[in-house]
Amino acid sequence: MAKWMKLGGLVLALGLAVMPMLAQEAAKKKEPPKPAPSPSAAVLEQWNEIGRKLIIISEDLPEDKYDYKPHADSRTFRGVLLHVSASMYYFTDFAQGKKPRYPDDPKPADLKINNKTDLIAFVKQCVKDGADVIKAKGDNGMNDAVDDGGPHLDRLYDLAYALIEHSGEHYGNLVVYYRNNGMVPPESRPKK
Amino acid sequence: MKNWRLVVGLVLVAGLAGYLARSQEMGKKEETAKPLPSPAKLVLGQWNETAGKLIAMAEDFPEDKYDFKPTPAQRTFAEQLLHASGTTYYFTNLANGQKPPAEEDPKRADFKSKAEIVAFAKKCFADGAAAIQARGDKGMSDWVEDPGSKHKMQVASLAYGFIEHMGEHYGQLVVYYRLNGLVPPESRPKK
Repeated sequence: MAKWMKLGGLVLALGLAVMPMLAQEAAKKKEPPKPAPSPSAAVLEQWNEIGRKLIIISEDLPEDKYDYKPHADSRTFRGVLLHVSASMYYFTDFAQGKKPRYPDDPKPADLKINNKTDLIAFVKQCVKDGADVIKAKGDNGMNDAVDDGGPHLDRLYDLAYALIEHSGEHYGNLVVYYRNNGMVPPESRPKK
Repeated sequence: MKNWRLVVGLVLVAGLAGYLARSQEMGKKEETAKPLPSPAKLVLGQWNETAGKLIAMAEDFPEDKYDFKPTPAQRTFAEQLLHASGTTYYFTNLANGQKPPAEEDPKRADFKSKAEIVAFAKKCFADGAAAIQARGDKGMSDWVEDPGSKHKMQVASLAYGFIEHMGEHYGQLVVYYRLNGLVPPESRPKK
């Protein structure tokens, strides 16, 4: 049920409650339905939602866990956060007619990430830069076709959603990393 | 000499015309080398991509590890698959103009074997894919409304919301693989 409420929270946060949740039914009835989001507003909400979850993890994660990895071949906590954030430029830069600035995972030293404050700032910047591009492109601009190196062209909409899914995959990695360290992921904690 | 100049001139003009024609042809080929799929095909492609990765895991993971979970608070491997696939009906049903499911996850106890879980996951993802195809390009922009909250969203955005959700659980299962000393199918060298 907890996971179901989490999923419901996600969708609600996107402006859509896809499913009835009895516990929140009364609250829902009091709230007027949100106006239907425009297509670019909808992708922006999903971009910011997964971005929010990653930013919260970057803020919440104890610095002494940064080098944890569940297996020798896995990325560390820090490595996952750097990878998932830097990868967002596969949307952000392509959308602006540029090559992605981080074709490979950036190294903390290259980015001058020396501590937790720097890492949080980097994650926030990556999320914000993508969000700014979505807003600047708007409904029409997000329909533009882009050659992102794949076998076919993509619309910017679909490229943004692909990076949102990619962010979700690595957010999923981090959820298990949390549990393996005896910690509860921020999204799974009781809401205050 | 005049004729010679004329011939050379004609050859040059013809050559230039041919070159331009070839250039245009090449330009056309470059333009058409990478097609832009239709909106429904793009959504379907991403749906099938993430679903395919989950199905590959479902088929690949050893059956005797299906009830593994890293900590007591987490879902088992099997429960992750049932959840990631079963919740797709919150998209599929709405896309098909039906009510959302009454319950979130199918019960693990209702599945006797790995084969049954694999079959269930495949069916869930296939039903979602069929709903996207049935809606078609125009239908991707249609609005669907949650019967409870009355919130509206376009079919494509709703599908992508569930693709992201599938991705989150795929990402968790990647770590389940590693914790069992196994390499996820996507991380193995391509044959």
